[in-house]
Amino acid sequence: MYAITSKMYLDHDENFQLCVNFSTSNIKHHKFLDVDSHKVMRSVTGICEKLKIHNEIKNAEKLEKYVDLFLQIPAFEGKDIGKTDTHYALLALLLNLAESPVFADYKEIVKEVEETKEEFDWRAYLLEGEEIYVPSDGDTTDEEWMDEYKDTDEPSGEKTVVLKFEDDRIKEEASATELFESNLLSRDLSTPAESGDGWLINNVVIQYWQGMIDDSRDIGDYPSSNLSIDWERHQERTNPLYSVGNRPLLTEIQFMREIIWMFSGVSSLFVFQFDGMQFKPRNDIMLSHLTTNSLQSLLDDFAKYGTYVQVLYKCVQKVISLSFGDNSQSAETVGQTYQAFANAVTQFLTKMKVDMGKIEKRLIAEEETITMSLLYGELKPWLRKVIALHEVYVKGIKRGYGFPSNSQRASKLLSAIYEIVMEYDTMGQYAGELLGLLLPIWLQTSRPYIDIIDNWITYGTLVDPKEEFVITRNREVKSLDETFWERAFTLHASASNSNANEDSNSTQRTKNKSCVQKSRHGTAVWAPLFLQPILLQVILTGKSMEMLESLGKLADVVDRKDGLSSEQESLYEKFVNSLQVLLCTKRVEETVDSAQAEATPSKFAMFSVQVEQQMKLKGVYDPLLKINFETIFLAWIKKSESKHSEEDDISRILHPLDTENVQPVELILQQCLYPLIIERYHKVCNHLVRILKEDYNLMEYLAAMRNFFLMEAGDTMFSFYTQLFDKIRRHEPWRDVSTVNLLLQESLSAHFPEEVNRLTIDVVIQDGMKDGQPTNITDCLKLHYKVPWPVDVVINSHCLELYNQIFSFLLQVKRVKYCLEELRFKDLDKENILRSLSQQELKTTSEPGEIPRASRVHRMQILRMRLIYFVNSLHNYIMTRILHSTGLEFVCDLEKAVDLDQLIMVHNNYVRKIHERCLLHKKVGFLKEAVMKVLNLSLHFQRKWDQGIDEVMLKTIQDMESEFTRCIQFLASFLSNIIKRGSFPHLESLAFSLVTSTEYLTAFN
Amino acid sequence: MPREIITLQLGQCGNQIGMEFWKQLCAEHGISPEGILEEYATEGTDRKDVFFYQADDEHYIPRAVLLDLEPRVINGIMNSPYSNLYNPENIYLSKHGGGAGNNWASGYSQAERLYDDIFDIIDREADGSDSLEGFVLCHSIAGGTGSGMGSFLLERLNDRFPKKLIQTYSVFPNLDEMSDVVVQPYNSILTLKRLTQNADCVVVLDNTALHRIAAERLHIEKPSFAQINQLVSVVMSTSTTTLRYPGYMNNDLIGLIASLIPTPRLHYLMTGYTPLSTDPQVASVRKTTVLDVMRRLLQPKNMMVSTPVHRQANHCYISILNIIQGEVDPTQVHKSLQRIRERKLAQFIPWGPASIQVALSRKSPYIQTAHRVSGLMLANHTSISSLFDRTLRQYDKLRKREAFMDQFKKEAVFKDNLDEFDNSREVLQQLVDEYGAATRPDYLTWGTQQASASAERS
Repeated sequence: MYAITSKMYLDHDENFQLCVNFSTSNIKHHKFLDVDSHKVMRSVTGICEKLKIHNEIKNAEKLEKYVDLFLQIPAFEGKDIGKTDTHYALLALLLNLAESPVFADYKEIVKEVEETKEEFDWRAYLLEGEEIYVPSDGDTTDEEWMDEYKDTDEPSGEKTVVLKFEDDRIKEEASATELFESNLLSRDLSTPAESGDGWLINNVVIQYWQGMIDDSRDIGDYPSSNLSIDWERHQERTNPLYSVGNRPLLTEIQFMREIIWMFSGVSSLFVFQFDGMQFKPRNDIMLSHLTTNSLQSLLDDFAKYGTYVQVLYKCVQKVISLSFGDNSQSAETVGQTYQAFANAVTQFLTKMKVDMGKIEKRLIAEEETITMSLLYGELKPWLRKVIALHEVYVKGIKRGYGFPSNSQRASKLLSAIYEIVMEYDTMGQYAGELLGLLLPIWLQTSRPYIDIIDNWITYGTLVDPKEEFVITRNREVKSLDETFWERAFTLHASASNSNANEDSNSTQRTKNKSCVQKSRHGTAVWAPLFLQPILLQVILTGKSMEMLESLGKLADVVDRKDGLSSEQESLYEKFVNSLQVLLCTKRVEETVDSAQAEATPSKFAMFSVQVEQQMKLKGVYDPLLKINFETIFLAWIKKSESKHSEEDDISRILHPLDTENVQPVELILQQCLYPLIIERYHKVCNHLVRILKEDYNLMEYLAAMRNFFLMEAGDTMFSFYTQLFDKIRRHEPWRDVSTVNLLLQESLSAHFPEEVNRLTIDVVIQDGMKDGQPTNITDCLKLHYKVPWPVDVVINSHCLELYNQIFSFLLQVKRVKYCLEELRFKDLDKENILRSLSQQELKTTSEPGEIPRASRVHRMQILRMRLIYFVNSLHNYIMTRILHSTGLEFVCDLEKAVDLDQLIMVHNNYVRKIHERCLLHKKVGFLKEAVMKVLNLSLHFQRKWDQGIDEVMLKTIQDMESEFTRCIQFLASFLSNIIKRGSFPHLESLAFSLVTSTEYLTAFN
Repeated sequence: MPREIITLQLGQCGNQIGMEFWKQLCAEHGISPEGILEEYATEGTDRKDVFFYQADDEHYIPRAVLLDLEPRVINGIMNSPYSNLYNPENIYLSKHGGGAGNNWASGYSQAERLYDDIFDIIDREADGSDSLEGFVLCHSIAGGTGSGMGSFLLERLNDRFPKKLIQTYSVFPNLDEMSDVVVQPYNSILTLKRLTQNADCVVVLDNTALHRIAAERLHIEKPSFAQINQLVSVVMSTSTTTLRYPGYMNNDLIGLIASLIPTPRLHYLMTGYTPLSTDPQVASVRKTTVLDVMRRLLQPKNMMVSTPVHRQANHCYISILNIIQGEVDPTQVHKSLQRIRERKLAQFIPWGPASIQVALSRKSPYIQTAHRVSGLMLANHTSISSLFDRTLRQYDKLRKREAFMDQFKKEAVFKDNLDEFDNSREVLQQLVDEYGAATRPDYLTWGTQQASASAERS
């Protein structure tokens, strides 16, 4: 009434009756536009036909039936027959309403419908369907699925994500909007689920999942649609034993939707059965136009991928549940790397789900022809990605389950992804898309790892709560320990061989450099693959940082680095940024000249990348330009970061990579990640070395080592040991600490007064020494030099031990040399009073064969000369050829050393080299034996000499002569052989002097 | 703890070369003629205390004893800028100042009379040192004071300090100027006996060779004594350089000498120095690598002892010590040594090792030289015996005529007989014989022959 008269009257109004009358007559008699009965009928048949096309024959029939029934009812206009105008008008109203349900007040219309069709029990039908299986609701779209899934499983996952990237606001927002959206969706859908018309139509689906079989299975207008039935009939005819079970017949759309659900991560499906491990297509179902076998093979294919997807879901779930489940009950913890990986995979799966939802919508819309093979083709790109991800999973996680420690698993995962990235990278363009997927995943997964490294090498703290980093801080070693450098950080390894690793870790440093690197790589198998080329630098940098920290010099490195710490980017960010710069010059280009931004062909971008590379290669690369680019780009990044979530960013960043042919991944890494680390490495290590050298006087300590242990401070040590030797020679007591220390300090005070406090000497008398050779008498002297903490990392106790051995040996040589030099001719020739008295009497009875006294004296003198010559040669060789030359090399190497590790190695090499060249090494033990024999002989000779010639028999002289000759000839021939082989170049001079000194012997004899 | 060395300068010649020596040392250590450390001498790594000691007022005093029987040279020193350098108590001038008149016997007997005075000084010096290494004696063997007094001191020092080394820098007379001191063969032979028996090491400075070198190598027409002494001082300072600039080797005198001297009597050392230039601007030698230096040192023309090369061609080196000064890489030294040995640039004794040693030493930071590397060779060579041979021949000639014997007979030593002459001659002859024997492989058994010879004599 209102609508017609557009006036509101009350009942008692005088005009009210009038108005009612007007309205009724208007409705009853006024014909706006007469209903065209033919038109209505045509549209009804059209609907029926459409229903039939959509395989809803039953519905079509029903509709037809009811429309007919309705038209037959004589209900309107007081006529006996149906098909009045009112009938058609009502039908037209219904049809129009059906076409645009939203325009009208929904509830009213529903009521009307129910009124008109009250004889059909829709409600019961509906309720029945709802009770059985809610998710299978025809109307629930994929989004709802996801929503439900999320409601059950995701909350924890969401939290993980949020927790993990607490700072990551964008991410949070994204998930929030997602939640919001899904809420909206579910609210929208809740209304039609109750009574929506469209839902009703869609829901008219056989409950194939309940084993219901459509009766109309043999209905088919086209022969192809009956292929399956025909085939089965044929089978039945030819094979009497062939029996067909009661198979549900499904439509292709049902199959396809099931497939899509499967890819969306649903595990309980009808067509595909999930047995906990993998999907298997049910074999007792059929499709009308495909034989069972072909259907099976088709479904098998899908099932395989479905399995992969499911595996990925399971993996993500596991990671999530482990990271939030009771950590106490299971020792297994999940590293951040795993979490990051799970996150990345989830992102991928979500995206896939969204895509699947879109496809399903299209399926539901039924507006285009989609067959299973078409679907397969459409899903192909996704499937390839799924394969790739599954490969990652198998290689990275599944194989990593066996490893006991997080670090191994983490590195295994990282390595696996990296390997696969590399693999696809080599495939070039064919895998560009996959690379576009995997690279971001790899980047995301490696983030925690890189963050750990970043923290370590930038701030000196190794934050690794899950112990997944390849290196671990050894808690037992305090930083103020001399073994700090060697043992403070150990590589994680499986428990069984961790000890071995540690050993090799410590011993490897004593080997030469190449060897170190080799064995380091040996132990570094547990480091992620991409890190391996750089691992050494990372370790060194980290250790240097720790060292600097304990030296209190950390601020020097850190402060200088991030004076604007708020704007400081983490290593990861820098890495990603430089990746962007490298990969997306196009974008930079775009922002630079925004005018032609969109128009810029991608070829141009590529060209510019290549140009840039070329410029870099040729060295004409303009760093200023690069800085400009970077700043512009950074601004752009910041802008974009506010808008987009990070993963979007990365994938967008890497978007151009998909199609373009960029550098190999290795190269990318080299240009993006490694320079950052190496730059840091140089900065930190150089600083540490400089601090050690400048603030902690490393060089002075090394000089002191050489001055005292290697006796390069010739006069100081000379005055020390000559006094000592004099005491020994005079048989004065010398073997007590105070005497020796007094001598030492006295000597030091002349030129090294500052060293007096640091250098002490100890007398260690061991039982084994007492019965030793005369040369060993000085072995009990041990020098002690106080090396303060940071320096003793370089000059460690092992080195000091070696130094001391060299010192002992030098002392022996010096002693012999000194003793021989101090022999005076007069002492030999002196008259032995007792002897001469008795000789007068015994003169006649002197032994036969005994040559005269003067002759013996002469022979002793000659022997002395030869001994002196030998000892001098040896001494010369050691002092100049070995100590001096090696020392020069050492100083030279020391200058070159850039990090502490090299410093230590150079020093160790130096000490070891000297140790070896001083014949102290076991390898040349026999040489040393011969040398020691001569030295002992010399001391023996000295005693004889001091006793005077009268005590020396000819035989003694001859014995000594022959022994000396034997030794010297052995040494000479041996050394000359060595020289001919060229294996010990440093021995050459010694050998030469010995060889020339024995020439006369061979000539004479 | 320094190993102090006390320098004894005897006679005219000894004081002259001693004077030059101290000048050189002062310059090298940055000590002013007054004995005060120069301001620029800040590098404290040298060892001054071997040759100097510090008085209470911090100024450096040489451990030197100046002895002469005539005042001329010492007065010259006392009038020079260096007059305040020496400890005046260490300067002893004979009261009468008449000198020894080129007479060995006179010098010897005067020294005998002055024994107490002289040894008061020496004892005081010896007591003033912590661990005395030995004495260095500068003298000529031809004159009166240097030879006579020197001989006496050698004998007495040996008795008094039996454990201490005695090294002498003995100037041998120039044969071209025989007329200068006619009795020099007498003096020489008597001194040589003491040098042989009582010295541990004699560095022979042959005036003949020094003049030749000055004329040939330095192109000085008429070399003055000052120029010759300059050469001598270079030799003396260089031979002690390892003691004064401690390296990690050769820190004592005995270490230097021990390898050079195989048997007690064969202790006469020749020297050679290269590159030689009195004027630093004139670098007459172009290239100075270690090998060059070492090779040149082996050339006879650089030897500061003139020995006739003819006759016995089998003269050979017994041992060599090269003192190389300057910045030298030991590896180079070893290579050079190897080259020398391989090419047999030097002929060595057939009965022992080819002992050629190298001592590396720093240069004084205060003296600029035109040469990067310089070297001094101390060589024990058998051809030194020709010098003694010549002296013996000249002595024999004089002795045949009993020439100038009166002056000697006046002195106490020869009052009764001239046995001392014969004795000295015999000792010297034995020395020549031993050098001769050392050139032959059978030197090892030489002692036996000697023993039998002496047995026959006795």
